Amino acid sequence: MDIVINDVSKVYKEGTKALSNFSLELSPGIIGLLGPNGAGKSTLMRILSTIQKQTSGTITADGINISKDPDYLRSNLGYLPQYFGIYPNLTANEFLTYLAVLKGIDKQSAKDKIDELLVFLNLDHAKNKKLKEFSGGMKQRVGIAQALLNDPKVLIVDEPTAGLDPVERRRFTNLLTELSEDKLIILSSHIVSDIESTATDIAIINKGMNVVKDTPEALLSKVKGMVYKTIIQSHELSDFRKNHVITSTYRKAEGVEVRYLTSNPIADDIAVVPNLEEAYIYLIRGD
Amino acid sequence: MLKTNLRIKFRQRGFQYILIAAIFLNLIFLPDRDAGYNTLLVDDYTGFYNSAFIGLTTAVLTVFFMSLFGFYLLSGLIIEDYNTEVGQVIATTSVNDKEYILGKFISNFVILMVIDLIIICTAVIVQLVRGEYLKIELGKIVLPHLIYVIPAFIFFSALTILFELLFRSRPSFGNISYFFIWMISIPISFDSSFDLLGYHGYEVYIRNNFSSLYENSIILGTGDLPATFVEYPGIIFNISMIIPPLVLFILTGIILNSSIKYFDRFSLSERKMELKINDYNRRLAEYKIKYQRIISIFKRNKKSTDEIQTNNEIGLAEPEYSISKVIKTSKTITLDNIKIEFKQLVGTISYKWKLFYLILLSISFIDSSILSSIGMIVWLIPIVKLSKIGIQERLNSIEELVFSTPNLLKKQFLSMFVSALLFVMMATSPFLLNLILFRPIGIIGWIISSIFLVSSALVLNMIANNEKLFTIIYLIVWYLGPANQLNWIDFTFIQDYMLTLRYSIFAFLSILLIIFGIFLRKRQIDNAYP
Ligand SMILES: Nc1ncnc2c1ncn2[C@@H]1O[C@H](COP(=O)(O)OP(=O)(O)OP(=O)(O)O)[C@@H](O)[C@H]1O
Ligand SMILES: [Mg+2]
Repeated sequence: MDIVINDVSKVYKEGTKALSNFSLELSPGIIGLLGPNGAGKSTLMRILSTIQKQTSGTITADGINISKDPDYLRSNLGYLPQYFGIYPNLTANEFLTYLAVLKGIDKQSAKDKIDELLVFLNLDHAKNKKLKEFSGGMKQRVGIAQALLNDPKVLIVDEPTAGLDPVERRRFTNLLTELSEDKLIILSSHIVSDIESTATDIAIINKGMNVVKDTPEALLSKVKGMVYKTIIQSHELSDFRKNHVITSTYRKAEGVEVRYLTSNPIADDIAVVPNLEEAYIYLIRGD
Repeated sequence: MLKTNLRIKFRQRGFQYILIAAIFLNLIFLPDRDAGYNTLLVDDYTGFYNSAFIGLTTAVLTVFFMSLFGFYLLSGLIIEDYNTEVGQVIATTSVNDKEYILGKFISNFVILMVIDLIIICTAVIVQLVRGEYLKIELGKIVLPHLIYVIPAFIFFSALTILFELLFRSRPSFGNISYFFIWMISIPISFDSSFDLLGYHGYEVYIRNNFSSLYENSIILGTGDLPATFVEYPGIIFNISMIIPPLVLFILTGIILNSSIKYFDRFSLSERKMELKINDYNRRLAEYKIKYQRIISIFKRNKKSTDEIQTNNEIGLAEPEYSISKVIKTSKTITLDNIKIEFKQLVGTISYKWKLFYLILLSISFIDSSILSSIGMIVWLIPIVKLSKIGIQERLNSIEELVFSTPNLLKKQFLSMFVSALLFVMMATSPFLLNLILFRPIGIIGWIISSIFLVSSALVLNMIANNEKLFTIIYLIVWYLGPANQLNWIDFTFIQDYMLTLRYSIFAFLSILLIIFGIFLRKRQIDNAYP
């Protein structure tokens, strides 16, 4: 499925402009949405999930306007919100069955699918436990399971790895890669490495605007030769920070090793291979 | 925090409605003399509209109504805190428990007093409009409010907090219990010298000076018109008047004190709970590491064992997996939809309820004389569950999951309605059994009642967007109708069951409500997130 976002703006009642003239074209693959807190990622994802309405602009899915006919997209949609509740008195199994019924999935396929997902998401042992007894990470996995129930063509996941332990996080990113063949997956995260390891395309969003959308390789090439490494003493660090954009620091025996972004490096500092986080910082700063 | 609480409440629609209602009630309770009814009637005496009488009437009515509606307006603040980030901040002890509870108490009181202030202002205007006495004696208007309204409001501000804490996990039960406490306690003060509303003192004054009939007195009613008007001079002090406010103050102190203690324990146990979950997660992680080690040893894969020991990335020995892709969908409503909605609505029924149900069922075999008592009990049972239908997504913050599914209205509305109807019919089935055995003609009424109840719950819940509006209206209707035989609002047809126009009226109303309900539900789905 292809989704075209055309000139979309969203102004909240209190006057916050969460999205301004946002345009983006999406086709199957994994699109990672990166952006600072309050950039408008969740707002964009809610609008794409037909849960919220944009103030202006249009969004089409396979050419069908999703504001006019939301059910076309909804039939092909899996959505994991950033924050969501559960019915505390249902078990994981019952809750997923409930949502499967609402999604219109036939009884037997729902049952098979739920069993499969529960095993896969490591919730099999807890499937008959009431959801109110679940830990944060377990709830998050129930959320992931419900998004996958209908084998969606469009999967929208808003910070899916929040609250997951490293093992589960890894399982999830692997799952995304496996699913991505014929699907459009839109993924937002604060963890650049999660996106780095999965996304085929990365869109960076800041202050409600689309900064850039490109492949990870292309983004990296934008900062090529702009990241340098040097070793300074601890007490010099704060001065150094004033004059340079530091992307990371490592304490070492001989001082602090800093990586920083610059177009005119200090004399004999060594250029290093940039990573995606550095590309992200560079692009967000807008210089 | 105080400011935030106040801001939240003043902005709430409930507050605005109650304010409008208060002004409106003022006009109703100080009726035009041609209106055909009078208030504060002792036998057939009532007061001229001078400042003293108007002050007293508004005070009596303010205590009477705000002690009920005020509770529903104020409750929810603490629970809101616990469901939002504010709660997390509090739970991590940035505010101490005493400050928190006292802050809530003060903000409750301020909210109620703002309402009272507006009532007093309207009272002045009403006195001028009615125009019997144009001399405004502000002191006489305010005095009854000082003596009766303020102590009562202080007490209710504290009581609300206690209720909220006690019933924090089951607010609907709190709402219902409060109604019954109100229903029992307020009328007592009418007839005793423990005068909470100021009504008893007035009654005694009129009796001593004018009437010797000692027949009846009512705060609102048609009485025998035309009434005889007397000039009420205002409250006359006597020492026993100090007792009720004193008792209320002492009770307030006790309530606040125990709330602080109770709150302390409850936030502590909540904190402990958090620890437990963390502990559980840690143990789970440890278990997984062990498990992975065993597997890797079994596979004689030394390398991954080392890695497990050195870092936490233990997902190395991952199982082979693949997610299947065969999904069949159905577009029609099936029995499954109803079953699962029912499950969601009702949950698991506890043994206590099952036992209670069996008792009711066996009693209903006795004879027709117990019909009305069974009816009254049975029609109360569904109230908690019904107060959630139509807004269950909002109550559990689940809108984003549910409202992004396709064709929701078409697929869900009917099954939601039917499952709620089934539940009501189940809960009231002892009553049905009695009808079948002893008054079969009532069965038609029972069906109409059930449908009417479900459709009005649905509509009221969706209008208010919370559980309270339906709960309170339902309790009042139940109290006036089935319990007090005000037959024209008795939708249960317990007392007056002859086939009359009322059946058709309630059936017709149900249809209107259902149509309106569909409309509201559609609006809700379309505007899930503003
Ligand atoms: N329901 C709402 N009402 C009013 N303003 C909102 C609402 N939701 C978000 N906003 C505002 O819109 C902007 C974008 O918020 P959004 O949640 O989309 O950001 P985000 O990129 O998802 O941030 P985060 O990384 O913290 O999740 C913010 O300024 C936020 O304050
Ligand atoms: Mg977000």
